[in-house]
Amino acid sequence: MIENLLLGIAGTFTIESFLFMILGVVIGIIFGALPGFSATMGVAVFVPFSYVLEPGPALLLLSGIYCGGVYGGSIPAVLIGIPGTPASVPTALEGRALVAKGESGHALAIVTFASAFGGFMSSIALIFFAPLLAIIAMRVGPPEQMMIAIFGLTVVCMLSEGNMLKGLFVGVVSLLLATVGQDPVLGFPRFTFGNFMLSGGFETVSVLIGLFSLPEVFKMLAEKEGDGQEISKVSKMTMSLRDFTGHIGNYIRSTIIGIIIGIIPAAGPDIASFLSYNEARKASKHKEEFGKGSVDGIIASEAANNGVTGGSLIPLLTLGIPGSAPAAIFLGAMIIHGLRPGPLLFTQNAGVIYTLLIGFAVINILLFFFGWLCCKFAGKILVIPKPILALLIVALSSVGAFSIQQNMMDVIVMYVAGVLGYFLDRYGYPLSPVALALLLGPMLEEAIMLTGTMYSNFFMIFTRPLTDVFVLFIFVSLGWPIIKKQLKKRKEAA
Amino acid sequence: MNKFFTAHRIFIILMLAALIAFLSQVGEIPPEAKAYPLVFIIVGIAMALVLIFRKKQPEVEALDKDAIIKIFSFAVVIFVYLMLMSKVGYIISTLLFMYVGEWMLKLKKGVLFVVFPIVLTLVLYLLFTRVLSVILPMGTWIGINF
Amino acid sequence: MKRFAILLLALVCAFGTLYAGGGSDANAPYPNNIIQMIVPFGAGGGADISVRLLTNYMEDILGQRIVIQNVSGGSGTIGFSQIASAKPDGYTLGYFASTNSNDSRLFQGVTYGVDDFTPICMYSNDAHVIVVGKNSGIENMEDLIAAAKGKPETITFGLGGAWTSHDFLRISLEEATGVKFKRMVFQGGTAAVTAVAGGNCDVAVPFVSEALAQIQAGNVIPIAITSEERFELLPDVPTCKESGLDFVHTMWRGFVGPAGLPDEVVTTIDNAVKQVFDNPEYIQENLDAGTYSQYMGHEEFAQFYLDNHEQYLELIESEGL
Repeated sequence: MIENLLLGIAGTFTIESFLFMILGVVIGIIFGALPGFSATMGVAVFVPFSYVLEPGPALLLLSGIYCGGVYGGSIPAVLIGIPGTPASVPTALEGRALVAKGESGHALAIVTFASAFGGFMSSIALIFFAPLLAIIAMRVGPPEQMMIAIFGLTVVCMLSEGNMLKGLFVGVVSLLLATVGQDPVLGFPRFTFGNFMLSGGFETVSVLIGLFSLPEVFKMLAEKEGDGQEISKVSKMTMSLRDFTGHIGNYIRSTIIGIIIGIIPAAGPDIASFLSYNEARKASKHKEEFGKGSVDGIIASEAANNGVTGGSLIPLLTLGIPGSAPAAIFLGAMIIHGLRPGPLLFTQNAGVIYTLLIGFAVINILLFFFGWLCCKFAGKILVIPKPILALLIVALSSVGAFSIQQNMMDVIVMYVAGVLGYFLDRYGYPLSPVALALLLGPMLEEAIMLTGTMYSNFFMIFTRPLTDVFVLFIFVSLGWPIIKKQLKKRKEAA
Repeated sequence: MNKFFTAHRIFIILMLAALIAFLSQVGEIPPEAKAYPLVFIIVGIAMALVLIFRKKQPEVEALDKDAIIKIFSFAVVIFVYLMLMSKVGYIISTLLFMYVGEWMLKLKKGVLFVVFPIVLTLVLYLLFTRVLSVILPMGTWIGINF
Repeated sequence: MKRFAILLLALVCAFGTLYAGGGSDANAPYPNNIIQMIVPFGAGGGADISVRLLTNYMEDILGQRIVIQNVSGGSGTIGFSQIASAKPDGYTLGYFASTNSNDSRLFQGVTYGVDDFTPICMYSNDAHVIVVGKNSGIENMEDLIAAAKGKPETITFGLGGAWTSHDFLRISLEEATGVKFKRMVFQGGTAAVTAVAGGNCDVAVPFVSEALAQIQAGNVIPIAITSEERFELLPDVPTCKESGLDFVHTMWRGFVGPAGLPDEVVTTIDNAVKQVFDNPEYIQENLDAGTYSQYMGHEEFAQFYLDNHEQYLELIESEGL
């Protein structure tokens, strides 16, 4: 093990490696930051680029793009309230308010630090705990996935507090929309209304791009000149040690959530950020702050979404199963470079793999510094007049949505989602449940179908230890706040 | 006496109509794939009915006429842009969109007015087709493609 | 601000000329422009990787870029439709596999059929490896068939997707052995293998590339391979034939174009692929990835394509789909 680590360090600390890591991180941040573009897209489009490189630098480049991409989406989330990638939606919810309070710089600083922290810790998990965690990953079967999906969906309840019926309505309708297209078992195209192009269903990322950027664009147009305070400068980017130590529990919990979600296949940074945000809110002593500029919310969202990056590589490298969408592209790149996932990977290609592992950790450190730089530069966005920004965002979102599958339908879907989102927002409906439902819906249905095939008697699933763990989790998660409330009431009455 | 057909109620009624449209399609689905979406349709319809008929309705911030016109026309412009994209190709449609958009949003005429759309469109086009190897829509009627 | 804009404009022009290329010269022989290769499946998947490995080499031979377009969705039907409706000028080609000519029978709403494509050549012929969990107690095909006969419609059979080659293997196998399995549809062969490894599914039939990781880790046992001969990377795994079952099932991959493709195009592409197969580096890369590379030239392939279509059609009709 030690020799391998040394091998990795030797491979990482070369000029060539650093060049590609930095290049990757910067490219990733840009891709993540531009609304309409995503980390997945960034990794995908640079895979062909990476062919001319040796496997080592190629993987470092792609890893940099991955980490940078997940982080980059949070920059516009804070500055203009539009998440650059779906993983930054919770950050956008809080960032907007912090900017209004004049604390934009502080918010960006926290975002950068939390992302780097989450990513770095996940790379440590990757290096030291990959084999152990992989074993757990393997035992996650359909019943467990079903529980995880259900758990994720309970977050919808939390996110719609105060607007329960509305939030649930949005969630239910979104779950229905997630069924449009071929069903997982028979491939029958459902709800396509005769339109063949819909048989692939709604492309989730397109919907999310439209849902979270276009309403903001429309709102920008409705603003009158000089309406409200025109914030045109980013406040000083600082953070203190206390900002870290005072919230250390949050940092650790969020990172762990990120790593775990990363390990679970098909659950990526977007789901992690929501779950973590939710958990932070439940654990917070200042629940009212959430939605009005809660630093805890940002920490939770950011540490978790970058925590996914390292976690998603664990099942990828050991089992060949990608833990997230960008990781899936990563897999393809690895195979083309002649690296086959599996136990032999760590022995046959030790040099390249350990360079990747150590490099991943270094990338997250680089992320901190270059992210900081990019934030300073990105502050200039606030200077751009709103109308131009509006046109820019529409142009970027359109081309971004198109480039996912080269399917014009995705762009139309994006637009319709945006219009719908605008109205939903106006009438007080939360938009986040749409994201959760679309992301988790397919996973839920597939898991239910497979579980049904495995066990004709539903209650048999409780003989599985992992399933019981997750069910317990759900009960505690839903029940704990209620219990806390009851205990509090009793205390006050006494 | 408050009117019944507020904007919100109309919106939910439209959603209800959509749900019913989905319901009409359920018959075609083979049995194994039917139950799962059906649950959501039924629950959704029930929820929609409650949302329409309940007393507590959301308070919606009123928009002045100016804003409504702006938003509506911008939405239409975007729609036309997207429809045109596959017909006249990415470059022409994007340029058109940007110029119309700039005019609609009353941006100051000047060098920037002319140059910005050209620069943006070209940068995006070249970035995607040359560097990223993604082929953008080419017009089926006419198109500038290179 | 003005100066900035002009500078930007100049940069863009410079940028543009730097990347100029792909302009067509009408008198030059085919190909004289970028070729679009439509892959109806996502980036990073088996189909995508196989195409990329090949086109990397083809670009040098043809002297033109081949741009891969991943048009995924609908189990590939959206991508295949795009291929079928493209202009048959040779600049839009596509990936094709053994089951796709019959998609109209399997998926509602599909408008393309066997006659909407011009077959060019085959470049891969992947066998499936039948795997079971390490704790299943099953050691060879005989055991598996015996177990299945003992518990009809109970042994869970993991597939990589509805109506994929995995599914057809199941149908053919059930016909050949007279047993019935319980169909479990996963999203991708790797997911199916992992389910077997984790004890959540009894048997799966992934491609070798999908199963290698788990086989090497010792979590699944390969009991047979569905090709005519044994595979280099799994020398100890007997073929179905050797196990006493006269059964062969592989999935081939090839290139096609829309119907009506000019002969010149077909021959040029076919020859390019043939040349790549003479390159030992390519063969080795495929082996490293765990895929079977096999070349079938246009002459043979054109007929094979039609025969294959009939074969699968029969299978589909016999299942009553």
